Amino acid sequence: MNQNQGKFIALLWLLVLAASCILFLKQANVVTDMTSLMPGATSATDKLMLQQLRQGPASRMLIIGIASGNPEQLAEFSTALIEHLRSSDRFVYVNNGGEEASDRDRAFVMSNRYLLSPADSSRTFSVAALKAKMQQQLQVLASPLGALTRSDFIRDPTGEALQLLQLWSSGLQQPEKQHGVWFSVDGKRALMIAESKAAAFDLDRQETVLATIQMKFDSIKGKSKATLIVTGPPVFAVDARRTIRKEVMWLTAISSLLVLAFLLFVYRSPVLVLIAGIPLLSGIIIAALFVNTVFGQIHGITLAFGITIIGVAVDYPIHLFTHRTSGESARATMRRIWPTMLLAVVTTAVGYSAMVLSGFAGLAQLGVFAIVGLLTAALTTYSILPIFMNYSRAHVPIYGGVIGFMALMRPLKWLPLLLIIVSSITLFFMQEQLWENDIANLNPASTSLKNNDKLLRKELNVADVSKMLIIEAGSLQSVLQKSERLVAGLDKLVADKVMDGYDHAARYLPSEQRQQQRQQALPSARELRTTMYHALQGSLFRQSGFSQFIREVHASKTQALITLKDLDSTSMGLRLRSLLFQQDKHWVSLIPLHGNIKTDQLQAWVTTMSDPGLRFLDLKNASNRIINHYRDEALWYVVMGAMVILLLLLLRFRSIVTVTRILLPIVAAELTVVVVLLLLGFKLSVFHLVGLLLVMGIGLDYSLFFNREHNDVSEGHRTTQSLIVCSVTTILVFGVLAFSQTPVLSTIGLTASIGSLLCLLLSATMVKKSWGYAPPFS
Amino acid sequence: MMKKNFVAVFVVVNFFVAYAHAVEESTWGLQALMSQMAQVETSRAKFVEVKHDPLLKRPLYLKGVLKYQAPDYLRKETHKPFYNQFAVQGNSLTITREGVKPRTIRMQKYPSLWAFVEAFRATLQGDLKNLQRFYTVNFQGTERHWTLKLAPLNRRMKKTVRQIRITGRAAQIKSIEIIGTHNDRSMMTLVAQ
Repeated sequence: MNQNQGKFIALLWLLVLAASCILFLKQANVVTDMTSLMPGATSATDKLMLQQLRQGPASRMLIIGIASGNPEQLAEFSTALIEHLRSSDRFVYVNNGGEEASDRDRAFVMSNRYLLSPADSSRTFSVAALKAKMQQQLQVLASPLGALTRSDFIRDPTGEALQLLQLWSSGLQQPEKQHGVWFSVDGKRALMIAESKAAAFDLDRQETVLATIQMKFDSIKGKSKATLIVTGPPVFAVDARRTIRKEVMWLTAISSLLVLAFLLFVYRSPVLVLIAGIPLLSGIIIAALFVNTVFGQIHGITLAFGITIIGVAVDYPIHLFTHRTSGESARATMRRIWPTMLLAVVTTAVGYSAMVLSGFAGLAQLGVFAIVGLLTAALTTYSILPIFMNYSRAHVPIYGGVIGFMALMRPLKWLPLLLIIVSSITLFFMQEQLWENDIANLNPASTSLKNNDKLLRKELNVADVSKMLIIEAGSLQSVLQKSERLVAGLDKLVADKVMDGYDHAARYLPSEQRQQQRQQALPSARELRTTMYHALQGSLFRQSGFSQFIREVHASKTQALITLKDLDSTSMGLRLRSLLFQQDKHWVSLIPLHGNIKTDQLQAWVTTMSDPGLRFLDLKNASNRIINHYRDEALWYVVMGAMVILLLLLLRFRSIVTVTRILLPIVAAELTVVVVLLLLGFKLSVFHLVGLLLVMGIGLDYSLFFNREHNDVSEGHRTTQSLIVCSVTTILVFGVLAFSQTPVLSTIGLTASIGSLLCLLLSATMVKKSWGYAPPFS
Repeated sequence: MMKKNFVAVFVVVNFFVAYAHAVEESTWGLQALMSQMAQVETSRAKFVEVKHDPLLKRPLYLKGVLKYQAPDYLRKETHKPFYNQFAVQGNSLTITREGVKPRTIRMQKYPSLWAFVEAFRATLQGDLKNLQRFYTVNFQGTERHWTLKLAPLNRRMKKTVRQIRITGRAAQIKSIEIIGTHNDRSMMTLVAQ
């Protein structure tokens, strides 16, 4: 191809890049929802769990605390803020324990007490029971509580409403109250909860909601020093997005600058460094466009990860620059090193394909991004870059340190084998502490956010329920009925101390069938009048005082049944909706279990029930199990990938000795990195696996180059220098990544930077004598 | 002549003594009452309580003992016609009934109950500030016979109690009357022990 054709192609490519860039920016759909990184659910239980994580009321709940003021002031602010939030129409539900909410609850329970009460009517309304109640109530009337309980007592002498309120609050502990609103026990914080209308993953709306709360609070607090704390899943999500966004910018900027500076230092030619950017940009833009097109979206973490491509892809132009001898055309150099480079790219791509095949949506994206990016960068280096290089006559000198370095490493050829043995033994003994099994540690939120959350949750007694029973049925009523049928069995489990307690939806919303049964069991007005007459014989109470009671019992016999909607107006509404909801075409009810639960006995009980609609779910275990399952799968794919690479190398070199020389340093580096990570106190997660994959790709690149066939000493020097430069840029990029606040990125960064250094050192020990490294001479 | 002067002096002195006494009595007020109450470490009294209520066929008579111990312990023990005990210490109220396990509740959870208890306890403590948090306080009378009229501020309590009237002599409470909003009334008379 002649000069003009070359120029044409180069220009064309730049135009293609620009167009792709614009296209991407226009239709890019960047998401930062952390739950989209989670693997797709297969079993119905897992689906349920994920659905709860993404959309359930618990995922939309905000806990708000107001601090730094005297309790009266804080209570005032609490009341004012609650009013503002209520009227802002952004919340499904807000509660600060203020009298109003519980007034509503009391009114609701009072007007529906006979439908809600689980008591046995025949016993409650018997003469004996009423007589006993009247005796008791006489004492209450005579006591300091008398005046306060009087009006409720006239309507409800058997005390159904009071018992119901106690029953309801037994499922949910009420926090401390001061000045009529919820407070932490030490009185330092006024507390409230608010359920946001916006879905948990709708981060824009969540951000608006949080801004609204802050704004309303600022308008209330005036000049006082009061502070606002807001916590909850939406806060974490918004914070995660902010962090990721910031990081994508920062990390890209810093990495690019460092790499730029370093390359300038090595090549002393701004033009050359600029040209090196072309394959990198090509790789990133094409990869981003590809991912966005194929997946329909691109995750913020994938973009941030794109930076790592710079670290690896920059190796290709570096090889090209450094291997060019004086007077040689760029194209000729390219032809010389291409076979090795191609093999390196292909083997790396095979390594990344393990990520693509894993069930993790997030990792699959990363894998695709990496493969497309690297292939594009390599191909660009091969075809386009030499054209640009004609504009630079720069010649790269060989630095003396290079030779010294090689002379140092060569005698250490026993090192890889030694490291393999030592690491294997260490890992064998440390295998218990190897894996990270708690996904909570992958939460990217800052420590202060996490601590605030823990504190406020404890003060509000918002149960952190992780063990529950799941009931499924075709309709709302059938699910409630099923729930009611289980009560006897569950109460027995509590009595047998298999668990301390439980909560279930039918406690707040009895099935229609149950409500009707209760209605029928109620005495008629005439029956009740007679019963009261007999019960009040010899009592100080006048029968005329209880006419309202008799009227209300009579009315309850024909009153409208309670529906799910009715309960929305009470504080139990929130609780109920987290216990009872629709999924796909059927209804699900959760029964959270409290206290120390003997899981084996519980599971046994569930099994004896032999009902496919009844299951036991341990949320923490379940989510950990999913992650671990996919991690094991990913591990399996990695091993398979390694096999394929082994095969490729054998096919190419047809010599076990050569292949061993190539692979030994890599294996040693990988094992050593793992040991180093463990010693640093880390536990391996699936993201560490990603880092190890990267190391494998990088290591192959170095190892293959160090094993090139040639007998030319100076070529050997050029290769060595090239690899050192590659290694430094890689370490720079991943080193920067290691400082990320997102655990995903920082673990990959740390693993890859340590790994690439080890790869360089260990591959260097395997270099052949034919490379002519005699003791250093000046 | 001597006799007339002596009578004159006698009358004048008596007049001054009476005047001084009257002045002393008229300046004795709410503050004085509270500070005298505050000085009482412990007190115990037998009570007779009569409850009038339209719900009842006839008034209910109760007999028992009321005990106070500074700084914040107050106990009402009813002996007749049935036994029960209401004891407050700090923020907790413990209710003991015959045949039933004693029950303790935190008064912060029941603001109207708390207000009710403080009507008596704050008075016995001589803590005017605390009393005024829950009631508007009206003082009438003299050291020999005073009346405190308390009108509740708490919204829920207002619905059930209209006024609490406490009468006494110096630092001794003689009677406590609770006037409810539904034609119900309770009058407790105390005899110190």
